[in-house]
Amino acid sequence: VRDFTAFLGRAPDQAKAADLRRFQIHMRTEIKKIHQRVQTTVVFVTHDQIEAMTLADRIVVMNQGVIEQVGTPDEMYSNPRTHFVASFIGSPSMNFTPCHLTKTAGGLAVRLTDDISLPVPENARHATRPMLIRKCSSVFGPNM
Amino acid sequence: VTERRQHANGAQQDIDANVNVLEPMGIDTMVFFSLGPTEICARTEPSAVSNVGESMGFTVNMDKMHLIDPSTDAVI
Repeated sequence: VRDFTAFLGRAPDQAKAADLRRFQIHMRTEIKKIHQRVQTTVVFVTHDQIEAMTLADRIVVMNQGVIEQVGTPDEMYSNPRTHFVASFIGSPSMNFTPCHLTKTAGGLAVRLTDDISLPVPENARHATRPMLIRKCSSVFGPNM
Repeated sequence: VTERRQHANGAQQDIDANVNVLEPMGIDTMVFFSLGPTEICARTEPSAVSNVGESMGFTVNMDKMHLIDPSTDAVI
């Protein structure tokens, strides 16, 4: 390994990529305008979750050929039902971290590290479910 | 996760951590910090951001937390 004072990096076709991105964003708005005018059902296949969120009335998230969840963009964002949907929707992506669910005097708590334990709100849906598990991944989105 | 705010929103919880990386986006600044084995991204108000390596207070909105069963990948 040599010692360099600087590195020069260049993404392939960077100018073209930026143009393409602008074009895609422009087309997204155009597609939405056309749809609002003609009102015909459109099935739009994309791997770009921002496209899905911004264009769709209903999103169908598929993983390995299997439908994971169907819902409005807001439902997908606020109430993802699987780890895959939670990790796919939203930019920046949700935070995922392993945790332990513990019982404290004040109710349930999520223990993230030895020092950090966060209480689970009483009205949380999962707190009322009968099936509680010892170890889980906690998720909290950056967009809060 | 955001910078610590003075909202009395009930379900918010605080974490102090050192800033690993800053990504200024203009309207927000993404702040990355370590929490145990994980790197967490917080969306923060640009004027509230500490320098890299310095400590910063964060708030977790527990109302928007999800718990995932690692054996099924389902949100519980």
